[in-house]
Amino acid sequence: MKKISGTAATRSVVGGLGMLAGLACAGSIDGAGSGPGPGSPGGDGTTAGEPRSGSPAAPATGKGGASGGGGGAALAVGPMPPRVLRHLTRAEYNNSVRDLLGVAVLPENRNLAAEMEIFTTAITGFPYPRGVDAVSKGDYKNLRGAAEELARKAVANLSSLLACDPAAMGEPACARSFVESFGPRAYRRPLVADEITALMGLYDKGRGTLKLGFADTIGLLIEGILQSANFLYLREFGPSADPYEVASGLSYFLWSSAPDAELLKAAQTAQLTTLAGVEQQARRLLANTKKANDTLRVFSDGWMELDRLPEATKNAKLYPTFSVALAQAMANETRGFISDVLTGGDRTLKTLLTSSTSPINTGLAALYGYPVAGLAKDQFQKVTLDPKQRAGLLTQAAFLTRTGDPDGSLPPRRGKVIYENVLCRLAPPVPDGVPDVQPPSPKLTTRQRFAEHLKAECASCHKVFDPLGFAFEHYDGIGAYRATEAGQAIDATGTVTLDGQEHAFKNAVELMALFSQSPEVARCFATQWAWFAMQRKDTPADKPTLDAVADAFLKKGYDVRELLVAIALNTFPSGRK
Amino acid sequence: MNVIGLSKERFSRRALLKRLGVGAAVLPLLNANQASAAGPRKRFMSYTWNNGLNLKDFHPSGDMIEPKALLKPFVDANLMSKLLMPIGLNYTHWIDHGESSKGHDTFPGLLTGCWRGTPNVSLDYVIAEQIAKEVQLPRKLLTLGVRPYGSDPARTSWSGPGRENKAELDPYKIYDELFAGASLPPVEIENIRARRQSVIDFVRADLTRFGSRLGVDDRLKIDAHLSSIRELEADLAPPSAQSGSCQVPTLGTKIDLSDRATTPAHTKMMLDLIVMAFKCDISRVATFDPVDGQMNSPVPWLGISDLHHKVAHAQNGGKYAEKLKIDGWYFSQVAYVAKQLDQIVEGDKTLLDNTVILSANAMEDGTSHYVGNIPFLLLGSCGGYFRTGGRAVRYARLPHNLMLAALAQAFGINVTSFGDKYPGVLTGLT
Repeated sequence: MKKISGTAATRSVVGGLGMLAGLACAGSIDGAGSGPGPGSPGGDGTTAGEPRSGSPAAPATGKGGASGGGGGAALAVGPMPPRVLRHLTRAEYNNSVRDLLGVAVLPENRNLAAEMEIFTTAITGFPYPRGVDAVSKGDYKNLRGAAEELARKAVANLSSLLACDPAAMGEPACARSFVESFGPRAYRRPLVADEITALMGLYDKGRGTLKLGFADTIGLLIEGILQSANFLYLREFGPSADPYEVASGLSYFLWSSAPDAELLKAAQTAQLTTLAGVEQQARRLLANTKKANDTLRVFSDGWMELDRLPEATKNAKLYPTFSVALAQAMANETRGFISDVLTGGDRTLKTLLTSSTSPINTGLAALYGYPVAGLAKDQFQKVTLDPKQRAGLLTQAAFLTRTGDPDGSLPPRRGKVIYENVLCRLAPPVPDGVPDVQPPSPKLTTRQRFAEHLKAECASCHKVFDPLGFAFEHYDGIGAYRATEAGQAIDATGTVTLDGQEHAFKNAVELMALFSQSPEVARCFATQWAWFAMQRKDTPADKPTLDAVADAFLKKGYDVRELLVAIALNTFPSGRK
Repeated sequence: MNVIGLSKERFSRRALLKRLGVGAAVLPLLNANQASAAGPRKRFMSYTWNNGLNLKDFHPSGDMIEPKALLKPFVDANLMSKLLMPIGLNYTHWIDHGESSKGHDTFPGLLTGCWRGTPNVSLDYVIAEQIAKEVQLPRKLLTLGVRPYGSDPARTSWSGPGRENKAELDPYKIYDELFAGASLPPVEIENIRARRQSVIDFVRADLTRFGSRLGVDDRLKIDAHLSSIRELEADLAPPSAQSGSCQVPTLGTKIDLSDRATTPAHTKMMLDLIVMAFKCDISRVATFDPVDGQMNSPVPWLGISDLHHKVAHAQNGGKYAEKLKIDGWYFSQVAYVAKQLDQIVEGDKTLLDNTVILSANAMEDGTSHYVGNIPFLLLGSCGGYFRTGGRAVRYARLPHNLMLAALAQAFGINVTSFGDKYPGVLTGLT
């Protein structure tokens, strides 16, 4: 289903019922600006099946320009494409209130905003653009409910929120001091006089008309602040590229949370108006691996659809060991793997695509055929799996289960996800009247059954992505390794065109080795991160940015930390002319 | 037995306040049993799902509805005489857009009569607004679901272009909003209301100030946010006419909503909430979309491991029995809610008689995904407006917009068209 564009989506509501005689539809709302929805990739005009911008087929043109700070990352030139107003995503909301009110307010595992549909993430690939839907009545009610609950919990430990003693200082003065210290952290910039007046007006109402106690009135202020547009919306990079907007942009990109005091200070002291300053802060944020992991998790969950994994439905007759707990373990393995490589390992895309070492528990050990004996129960332990069977995150159970079928491996889906999310190529739309695949037969392998797809009208799409999926035929619907199917040896061979050259592979492990050395795959990975940073997919105007970012990534040996720094330097206003 | 049983048990005030603290719109007084001078108190409900039906198990051959396999729940509930089946209506917008097999994309059009790219106000919203002109109810419109299944949920309920009425999914939260306030002393309800009003006043001024600094496009987003606040504010206000009382239902044992196996119990709770809301006149319009517009809804509680969509495509290729089981289950839920309503007496009629339930599907059948002969079913006569009696009324491929217009007219809304492009009002139903 096509979503209505952000602009059109917020056109005025049709007025009263006086005009009912002409209950019409919304007129012609074109899809421009809507961004490609999940399942309908593209939107940049690229022809289906052709590589996106940023691939070798579309050579970079925008490199050069101003030289970077210490890192010397290539910088794009040309005006920054404008960013739109967006609200915090679910993870950003959760992390922000945690950092603002203290971890003690919410239990670690309580995902308050998970209940809020406004923050719901999507099921297929990257849910971009994000945070641009209008706040509906139900959303608003949920935001209010969350604010009320958080405020009540926060004021239960009032002294941790207040730097003053209301008895000594006087209640109104202490409340003002709270507004002046808490407000800038929540709004991520200093408050203007009007805003302080408005909050003190709410304070007066609480103590006056509502006859609330002092602590309860501080809670009322928190309720108001957490529902304030200044907290809920990110106004990134208005015309003036305010340094505080850059601070928020950096921190929501690299931490998925609000800026800390030091970053706000950097905004105040104009450090963020220089490239070197932005680079220094980006590197400082990335060095805080605990907080950087919040962003890695959001990225991993979106890219690999890990947060939706527990919803996977599998045929219990075929996969009796599959359970929600096992699905969660799979997601945690891939999250832990990505985090290990990017914060503790060599940080390269190559390792992400080829390493056989990942954290598993006993449930996963059983699935992978790894000796359970040495493993502590219910704990994740880093082990090295058989490198002939496992190479990187696309051969881990999470990806294979998510893209597998309830009854089997489903090569087209695996191929399509890789085609779109790993190679950044555009799949053609699904034609009408897709014939049913032959039901599982004891005599046929999955690959033989899907041969139907390579005939007639299906072939246009399936000859494109089925071969990529067949590479994973050694893995069943939940990612267990198999040497045979239906009494026949698995055929996982195929060819793939990367960087304009055709390569043959015997299986997924070989395919991953090819991917890990391909500039095209690296450019796609860079694009995925750029989308993440921009919270939207690219437009033609972004081409110089994507090219500069990808060039930097390639030049730095596919080091993902350097990629993120390059994105920070290229997608934030400082330095761009 | 209802998951939500009727009980006069009063909750401890403390427990109620605690619950009310979490996002509860306060319901000060329930105006059930309120006599209406203006004829029957009419209600509207929709029940929608996806992936089509096996029409041969649904449509009769003659002019009377037959006890086909999918309609067995209505036979069992003795409700056949309260059904009305329009046959031969289609989603013409899709056919005219060359999307006659894009059955999955029709959800935004089911109740709006608009093509998916241009949805506007939906029937449930329009009826709710019409009723709001006559009586102020605690909730103008209930849009309920069971769980979000996918990335791109497609809503049936719209309050304007781009303004989806997202379904509420948590029965415990809805319960608190609808019923917990009933046992609170008015002074405490007023305190909560006043506190929320103060915060809303602050937030509104804050948003207005924030919006004034934005460009036109971004300001529209803030305007929508402000509209949402205004709508919620209207819900906060107490009903204008307050008289009578309503028994406060209690929720049964708490279930784990994240466990798909609890879907039947979850669904039942939502339907019971609708029944109670209708009975107690908390709301007169409810939209129920258990699948969130999605095709890939899992149905593990029926012992089926494939997703509904896959079963639908294979309904003629080995999955016939499974498809029948899935749709039979959905119809059993429609029959359940209808039966509950039918057991509540209102004057010389039942609540079901004063209601019209529209049961609709996104497409004709699961194999082709064709949108040509949509299996609609109406239940209840809407206060005697529709001539039910188990009739099947045949039409020669008419746009379903005409049926939406007829349903709007049943609620005294003077329309001659619904949606766009296909004016007219369906005859033969009254």
